[in-house]
Amino acid sequence: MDRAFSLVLMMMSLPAFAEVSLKNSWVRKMPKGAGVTAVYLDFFNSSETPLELESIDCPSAQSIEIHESKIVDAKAMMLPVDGLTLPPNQVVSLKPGGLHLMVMGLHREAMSQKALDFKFKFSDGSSLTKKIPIQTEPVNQASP
Amino acid sequence: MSGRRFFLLSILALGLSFGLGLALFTSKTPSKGSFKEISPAPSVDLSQLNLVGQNPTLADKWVILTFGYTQCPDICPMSLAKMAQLSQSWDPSEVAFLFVTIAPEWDREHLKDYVSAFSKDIYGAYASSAQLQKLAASLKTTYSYDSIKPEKSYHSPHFFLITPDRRWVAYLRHDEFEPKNTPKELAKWIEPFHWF
Repeated sequence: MDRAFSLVLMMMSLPAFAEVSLKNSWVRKMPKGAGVTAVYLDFFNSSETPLELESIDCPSAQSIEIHESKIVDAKAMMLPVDGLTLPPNQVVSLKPGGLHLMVMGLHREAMSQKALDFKFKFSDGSSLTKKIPIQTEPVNQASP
Repeated sequence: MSGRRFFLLSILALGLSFGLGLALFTSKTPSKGSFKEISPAPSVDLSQLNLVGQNPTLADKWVILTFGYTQCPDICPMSLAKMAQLSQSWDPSEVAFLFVTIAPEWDREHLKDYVSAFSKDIYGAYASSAQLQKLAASLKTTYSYDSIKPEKSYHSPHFFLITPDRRWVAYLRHDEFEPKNTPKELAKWIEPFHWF
């Protein structure tokens, strides 16, 4: 009995297994001193229930928000998005010219690194850490 | 007129009509990634802009101008990458590529490094608020910049094509840029002027 109880306790203390995976992730290489950058990626929620992206952390930046670039009435603008829902068994893509992670207050040397560390937390209590490469966008993929 | 000569003239006239019709049809059907004409072309004053970059000068050059700011991590780097690609087709003594900041207070010291990271042939430009508003108005556009609330910032999504005698003749939206077509379409505007 004690053994079974210990096993349950042990399982409860294990970090929750993330049912979200990431693909095609990259951080935009920005000129030195820009202070901001954007991150693009595909989220895939393999669970049977919708999940919310609750927080994103990066030790090389002060804050991260979800933004969406739009062209409305001949005005190019970036609008903050309140949260991101990941529907079950679907891919949600963050791409240039659309949804992206807006990384603000970048540390001075961040763009000299090859990659930045990110931690994503989801509404089921799971989390995911990922080292995302910094790269320049090829021009022929520059059109949204 | 002999029957043979009449026949040949008829064929010639028919051929000319067909050719003219085809030319008119193709000229009225802009291909993907082409600049859209502004007619009549308004005059634009660029003399008040402060330029940064490698030996920056606009004298006697065509100008391709776009607005933006260095704290924009998505649309502006995309349009600058496209501008950098366009700049590869032209001699810098003929065409100037200009990124005009809508945030001159912040960008003044960052602009040179920012634009040169995309191409040594792109100039940065800044101006006083009054001059910037005048420039935007002459290009029939507006802008807004808020350093605290980025959602309140916006600017034109266009590349503006301006002649050496400072007439705004055409424009192209950044997201309509086509890597293969747009450089060729731009040449259709600029190259005919080489004959004068």
